[in-house]
Amino acid sequence: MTLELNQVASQVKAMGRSMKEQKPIRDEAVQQARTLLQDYSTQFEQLQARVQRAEIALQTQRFDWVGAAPVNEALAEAYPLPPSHKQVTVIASDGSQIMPDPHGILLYYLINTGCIIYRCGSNQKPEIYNPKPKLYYELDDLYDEQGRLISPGEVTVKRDLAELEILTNIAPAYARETGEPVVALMDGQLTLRVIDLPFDQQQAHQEIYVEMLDLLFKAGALIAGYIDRPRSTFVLSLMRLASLELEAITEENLRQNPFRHLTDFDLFSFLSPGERSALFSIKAKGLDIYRETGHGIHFFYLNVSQDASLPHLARVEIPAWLAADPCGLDILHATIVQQARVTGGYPYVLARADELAVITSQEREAVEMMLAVEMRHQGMRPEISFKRRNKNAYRYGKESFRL
Amino acid sequence: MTTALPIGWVLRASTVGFVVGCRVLQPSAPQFGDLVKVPLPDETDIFGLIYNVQVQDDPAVRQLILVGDMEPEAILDQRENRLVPIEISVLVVGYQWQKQIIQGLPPQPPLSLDMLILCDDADLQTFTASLDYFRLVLNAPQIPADEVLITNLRRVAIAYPPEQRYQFLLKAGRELARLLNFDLVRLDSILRRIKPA
Repeated sequence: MTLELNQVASQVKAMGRSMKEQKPIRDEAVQQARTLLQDYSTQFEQLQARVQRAEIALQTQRFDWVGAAPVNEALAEAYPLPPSHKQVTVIASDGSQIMPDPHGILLYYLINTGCIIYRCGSNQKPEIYNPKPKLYYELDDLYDEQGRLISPGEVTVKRDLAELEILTNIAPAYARETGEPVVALMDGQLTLRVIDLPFDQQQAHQEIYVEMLDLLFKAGALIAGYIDRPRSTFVLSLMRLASLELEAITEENLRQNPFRHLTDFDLFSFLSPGERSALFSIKAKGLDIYRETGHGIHFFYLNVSQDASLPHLARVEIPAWLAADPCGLDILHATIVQQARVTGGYPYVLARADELAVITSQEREAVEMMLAVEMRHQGMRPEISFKRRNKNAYRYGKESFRL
Repeated sequence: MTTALPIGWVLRASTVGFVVGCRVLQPSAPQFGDLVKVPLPDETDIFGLIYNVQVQDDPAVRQLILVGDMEPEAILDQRENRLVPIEISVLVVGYQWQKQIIQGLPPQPPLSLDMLILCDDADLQTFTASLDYFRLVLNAPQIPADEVLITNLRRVAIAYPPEQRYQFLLKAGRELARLLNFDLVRLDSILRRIKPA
C-alpha cells in the first residue's frame, strides 16, 4: 500500500492552520523569555544559586537538571564579529560508516573518515587527508563478551573517536610548523555521545576521548563542535529557573515548562550577522568527566547569516580552556563566520570534510559486491535474508501506473 | 613521439568517438581542435580530434557561485582537490596499427579508463602526411565540423618547420576544394580562415 497523499493533504492544511494559531502564543513566550534574559543579564550569582537549587531538586529523580549556566558575560548582550586573523589554519574532520546489518550477506561494519586542512589567507590549495577506511569483521569487533552484536551506538562512538583522532594527529603538527593559530572543527557536539552504551564502555571511551582533548589543549589547537540549526534549549531552561523564585524551584514546578515549544534559537534570533551570544557552560551530570578534566563544555550561539532579515544560528561548543582564552575565542569566532560565508551558511571545511568521508549508497553496494565475490572465492554462498530480499523486490521492483 | 603525461581517461566510447574525463583544465591540457591519441594495450593508437570541452554542472560549485564570497583557497580546492567533472569529446579520425596510420574508423573503440595523450609535433606531421581524415570530420553529424577542422589545420601548420607550413596549408586547401566542390560557400569560409598570413 502506498502513502495516500490525498489523505495527508488535509492534515497538512490543518498543520498550517495550527502553526498560524500557535504563532501569537509562541511570540508571547519568546517575549517573556527575552525579558527574563534582559532582567537577569548580569545576575550571575542569582542564576548560579537557582541552578544549584535545580540540581538538588532533581538529584533523586531519574533525569538530572540539564541547562546552561552563565560564564561572566552579560547574557542579553550581542558580541560583535572580531576582525579576521590574517592567517589561520582550519582543520575539519568528519566520519561516515556502514552499520552492521543482520540481514546483509555478512556481518561487518566499516568506518571512513576524511579531513581537510585549509589555510585561510595563504592562497594555497587546501590539503586533503583521507586515512585508510577500516573494515571491522573479527569476532571481537562484532560481539561483546556476552555475545551481543555491536550496537549502532557503539559504531557511532568509534566513528566519533576516529574523527577526533585525525584532528589530534594533524593539528599539533600544523600548530608547530606554521606558527599560525589552528582551528580544529568537528561537525556536531564536542562531546562523545555514549548514552546508548553500557556504563563501563561509556567510561572507557570517554577516557580515550578526553586524552585526545588533552593533546589538542597542549598543542594550542582551538577545538570546536559546530551544530547547525540547533534545537537545544539550554538557555531557555536557565530562563525557566529565572522565572521561578528560588524556593519555588521544586521537582514538581520544573516538570512544567512554559517555554517547551521554543528553542534557544527563538531567544537569540536578535543576533545580527556575525554576532555571537554570551558564553554559557552546560550543566549536565553526563558531562562531569569533561568538567573534571578541565574540558568542561561551554557554548555560544553564532549568527552565520549575511542577511540581517534572515538569521541563521549555529551553536558552537568549546572546552573550558578555550572559553577562558578571549584571544583564541575571537579567532574561532571570526574563522567560523568567514568559513560559513564561503558557502552561505555552513563552514566550507565541514562541508568538504563530509564530502570526503561520506559513504554513498553506490559505494556501499560496491563494498557488498566485493564481499560477495570474496565469499565465493572462499567457497561460501553470499545471501541476504529473505526479509531484505522481499523488501528489495517490493520497494524497488514496483512500477507505478499512471493515467 | 608523444607527451607521456596523460590528460584524462576514457569515460565512454564508441567506434566513432569517445568522451574523456579529466580533473581540471590547465594551459597544457588539450584544446578544441587538437589531435589527441589513446594508446591501447595491443599497441594500437586511436587518433581523434577534440570537438567539445564541457564543464559539468556541480551543485557545490553552483552554491559557491550563488554566494559569491569566493576565497582563493576555496577556488583552488574546488579546481584541484575535488573531482570537478570536465568532459572532453573526441571525434575518432584514425588509428595506427603496426606502425601504419590508417585514416578511418578503428576496429574497436577504446575502453573505459584508457588514457588520453596529446599528440606532439612529430605525431602531427606523421598523421597529416595524408589528409583522408578531412572527410570524416566534414561528414561528422552534430559537431562544429568546420571550426574543428580550421582550428586543427592552423595548429598542425605550426607543427611543421616554417618553410613547410605554406606547402602544408596549400595541400590542405586543395584537399578541401576537392571534397567541398559542391558547396563553394562553405569551402570559401574555410579557406579564408586557413589562408597563410
